[in-house]
Amino acid sequence: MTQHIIVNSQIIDVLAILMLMSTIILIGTSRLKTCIWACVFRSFLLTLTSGLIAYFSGIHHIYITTGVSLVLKVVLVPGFLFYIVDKVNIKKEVESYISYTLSLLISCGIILIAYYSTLSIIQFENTFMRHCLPVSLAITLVGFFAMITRKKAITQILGLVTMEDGLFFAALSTSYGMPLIVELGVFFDILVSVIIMGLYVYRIKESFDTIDTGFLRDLRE
Amino acid sequence: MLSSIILPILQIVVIVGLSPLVKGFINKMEARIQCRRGASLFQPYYNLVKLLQKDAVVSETASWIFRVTPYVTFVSILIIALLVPVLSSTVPVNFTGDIILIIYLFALGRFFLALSSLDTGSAFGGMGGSREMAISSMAEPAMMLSIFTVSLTVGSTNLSNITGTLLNYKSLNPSLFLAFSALVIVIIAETGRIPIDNPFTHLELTMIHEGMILEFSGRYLALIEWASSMKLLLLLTILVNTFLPWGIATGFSFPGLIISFALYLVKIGFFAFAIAILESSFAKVRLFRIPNLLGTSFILSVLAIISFYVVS
Repeated sequence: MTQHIIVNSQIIDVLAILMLMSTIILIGTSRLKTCIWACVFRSFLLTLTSGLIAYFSGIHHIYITTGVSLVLKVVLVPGFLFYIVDKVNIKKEVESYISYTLSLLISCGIILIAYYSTLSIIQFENTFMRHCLPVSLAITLVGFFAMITRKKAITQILGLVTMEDGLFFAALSTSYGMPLIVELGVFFDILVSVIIMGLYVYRIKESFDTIDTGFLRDLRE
Repeated sequence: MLSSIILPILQIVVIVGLSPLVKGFINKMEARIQCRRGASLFQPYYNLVKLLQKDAVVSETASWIFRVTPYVTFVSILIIALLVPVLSSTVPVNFTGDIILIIYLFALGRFFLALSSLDTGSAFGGMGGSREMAISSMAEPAMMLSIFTVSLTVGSTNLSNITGTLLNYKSLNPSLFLAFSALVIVIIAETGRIPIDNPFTHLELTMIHEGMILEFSGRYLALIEWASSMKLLLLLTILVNTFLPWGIATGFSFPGLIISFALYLVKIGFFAFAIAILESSFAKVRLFRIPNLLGTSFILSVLAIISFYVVS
């Protein structure tokens, strides 16, 4: 039985690490569509993880959040983002306020901070999912970092989705998810905010001919 | 006693003999993916035979470094072929060196190539040499850290011990996943495959490795080409036998070696096919974007080692 639990927690640890890797790809790549695909991959892994956790723990309401997360974050949100990218006709690469290599190094530092700050908690957990808490914290912080350093509105949306993924994963791995009604509320929030931001991207593009949010700071008549 | 003589010979034969075939296989697969018929699988062998029969043309201004370089490169790779477990996790000469020596032997060959590229005074050579050195200065730390993660997990830097221990390793270690993906990026960079360098062109804008060997001809060129295809096969062997050692023979027994050889071919073929797909689906990245890619690899390897320390 304990062997079983160890194997299960190892599978979830490996999935957590893969999620972390796709978040690093999100920071490290320069192509917008690769960024979106990295987000899709991470959300898919998260759905897989939550399905596995539901199966291993036998808590049924996690299945519902898994299903909602699959429809919303793996299908609807990326589909909408691809639609926006095509509609706004973005050809240029991802632009950032700081260079890629520097932002990679900073996000590496963020991940280290996440590992060391959760060290005092995870060292007492003997068997179950030791990588999950640091990885979820790291994903949240790196998503936040992507949001504040990227110039384009689309990549900021991706940062928001990344943050939400991290929070969802943290709740899932530490306490088997939040209450169902809270999860559903958060999902709905994400959907609405992505749609509103997507519409904003379109508006910004129409009025400024670019989706660089830096232009919003310029005062105009 | 017999095994400690036959196994090293077998390793050398497999690495030296198969390496042009791996190159030919990658080229053939790429041609197939691009809907061409492509050259024969054995074309690299024909090229080597042709080059070995030709006279070498050496620039008048070239010094002894230029003449020594092909041999140094070839021999350093041959020594690595003796140290890496290929068909059996038992490597009879493994007492002479571990993974750190292997990394430095790779560096030795590259160092001499860069020197010889400067030696003839050709502008393209110098450019290729400086680019190769810039890339390897970023790829080497990532390679070391990812290998060290494996060494820490096993508790030894000896490749033979690493393979032997990981063969019976029953748990899924997330750090090893990170180390594996870092090493894959490093291997692409070290062997000059497409997202980093284009192995098929001599255009001055794109060449890195080809720029360095532009001045070589005849048997010198044959030795360098052969060494570079052996380097690809050896790095793939290290990857395969470190992270996926299943089915490798542990001692010296004839049926075990046959099974091990068949599985080895399958695994190497899989990775060669993966390289072919990767090369067909990506364009070469701009030179100034390469630090970005290698930075990703470096960070993955740092995370591998940190997550190993923090969590276990």
